[in-house]
Amino acid sequence: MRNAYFAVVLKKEILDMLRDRRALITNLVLPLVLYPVMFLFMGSAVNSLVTDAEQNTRLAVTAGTALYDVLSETEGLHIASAADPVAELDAGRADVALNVLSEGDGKYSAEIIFDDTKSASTMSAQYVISLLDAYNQSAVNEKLAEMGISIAQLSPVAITQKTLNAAAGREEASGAGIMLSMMLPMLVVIFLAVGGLATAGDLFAGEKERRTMEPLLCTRAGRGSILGAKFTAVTLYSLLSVVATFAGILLGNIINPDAMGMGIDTDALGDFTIPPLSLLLTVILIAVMAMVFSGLHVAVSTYSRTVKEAATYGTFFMLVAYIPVFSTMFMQAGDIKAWMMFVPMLNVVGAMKMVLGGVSDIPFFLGCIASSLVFLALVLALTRALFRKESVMLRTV
Amino acid sequence: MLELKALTKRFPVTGKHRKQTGQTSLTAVDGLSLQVSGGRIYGLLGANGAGKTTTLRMVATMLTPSEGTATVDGCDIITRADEVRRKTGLLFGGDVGLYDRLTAYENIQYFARLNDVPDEVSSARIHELAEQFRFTEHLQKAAGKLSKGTRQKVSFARAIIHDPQLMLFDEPTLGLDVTAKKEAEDFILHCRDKGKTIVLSDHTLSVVERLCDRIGILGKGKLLGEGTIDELTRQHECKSLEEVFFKLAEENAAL
Repeated sequence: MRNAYFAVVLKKEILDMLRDRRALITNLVLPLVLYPVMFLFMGSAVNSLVTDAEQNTRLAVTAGTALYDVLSETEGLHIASAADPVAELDAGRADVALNVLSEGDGKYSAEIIFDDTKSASTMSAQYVISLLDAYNQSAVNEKLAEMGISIAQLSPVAITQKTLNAAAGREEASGAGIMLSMMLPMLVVIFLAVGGLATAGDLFAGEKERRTMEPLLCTRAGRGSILGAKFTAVTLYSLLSVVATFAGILLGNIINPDAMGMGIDTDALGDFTIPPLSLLLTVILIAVMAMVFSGLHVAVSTYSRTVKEAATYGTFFMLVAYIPVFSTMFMQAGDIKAWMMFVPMLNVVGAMKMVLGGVSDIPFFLGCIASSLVFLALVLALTRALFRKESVMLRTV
Repeated sequence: MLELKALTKRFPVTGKHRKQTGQTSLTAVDGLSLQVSGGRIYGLLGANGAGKTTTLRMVATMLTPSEGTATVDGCDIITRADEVRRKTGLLFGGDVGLYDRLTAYENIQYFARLNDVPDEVSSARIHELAEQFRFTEHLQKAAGKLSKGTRQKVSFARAIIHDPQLMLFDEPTLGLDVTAKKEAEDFILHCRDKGKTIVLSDHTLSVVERLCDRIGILGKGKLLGEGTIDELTRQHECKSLEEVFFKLAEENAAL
């Protein structure tokens, strides 16, 4: 491979990619616009559901019952008595129905009926249950106080929960870190896979399809230089699409910080900062995965005769690569086993979970990077062999 | 300038075709030997599948011969492939492949750089070729927006930007309109006049008759006859090249 030819091919491929408006819009512009818009709507939709339930719940209660009086003083609750509360719910005049079955001597038996096909009804039911739970708790407290008994006396075993990290005096994994370790590897794999697919198809199978490959192979640039430069271009583009995706997510998070928590109190997730070393490791792991994916896409595209064929085969490999991601989605950093570091894709996903979950295990990371590089070398050796095979390179429709 | 020595290319037969025919390989070019002198246009004439394109691809170092070899200006296509590439320019006719998002200028310059032509040299040469082919006003346009004729002109320029001594043209006028065809033919003659050696593969008899100094007729990968038009018609007792072509084709089919 000669550096001069490598640079010429790489420069041309980058220029060509930057002029591909459709690919630029899909892979770079769309994430930058789509995520902020999505976050804006997602956050406000969840927030409005919660707010609506707390301020505008329409509750139908069995007429003439004492429970109606108990709840009628609650602020924000639009309560109405009805002979048949379920009919009110069915007619859409109420969000939740409280059907009082029996009452007397300060005791009530009631059932809450809600429409599980409507989000507003489900959220309102949760809200009414929380009101009734609070009422129950205060009634119990009052009774116990009258009898001179404390709650602690009624609970023989007092339990407090602690994580191992807290018990050992180590820094605890934050809730946000755990959430990120579930989401980030998945997003990285999806966007790396999608980002490089079209580009690799265009750069190899596309060259064959539009008959530019033959003149290219007749130039003085060796096949190693051409392959190396094109592989680098695909990797760069994949990484760029991941950067655009994260930039879009970050922008969305700045516009609406509550959206990531889906309406949950994000303060409860705890403070989360990535230490510089972990950040560096994450970047290295993403780069390694980008190279592995690009290598696969390049191999598939080299073998294919047309862009369409490359997209079909590439999609199959993409779906296979999703298996380790989705199968480990709910795994925590501590669940990652040593053998996983030697399975392509699974190793990077696992290592990223460890980094984000605050688990630093240098031998694991080194094993992951080494096995990824070995896998990459095998894929590139296969591609190189395909690139030199006449029957593959001159295969056209 | 160009010498083919028992050049042979066999392609492996696989899959269904192998099961049906029992064939393990298909001989596309079968022991082809010929010489082309410098400053001449040599026509390779043959029906589809005669082995013309495979021969050109081997000379251009895209395909490795199964047997035999060839030399370009004394350089062996197998052992000195890099030098052969420097001395050779290849052009395919028909649906010309260009990078549609690059301008005509960038398309040509890309190939100049990949053939070690310095930018200052290639820049002057691109403008010279554009003037010669009359596409100067299209130089800065995206290749995807050019007409078929102009695309072919750009690909001509791309094939010879590194000023090769040997030019391999595979059906260069295929799909061109009458004017573009005439311009392409004039250019080929102009290259010959400048001392370039040209191998022109075509199955259009009139094109070969008009342009070529010597003609080799191929059939099933073999050289069936060779010479000037006069020599061929005399040797085979025919009145025209067309007659010679069909006579040789019939004889070859009967074998």
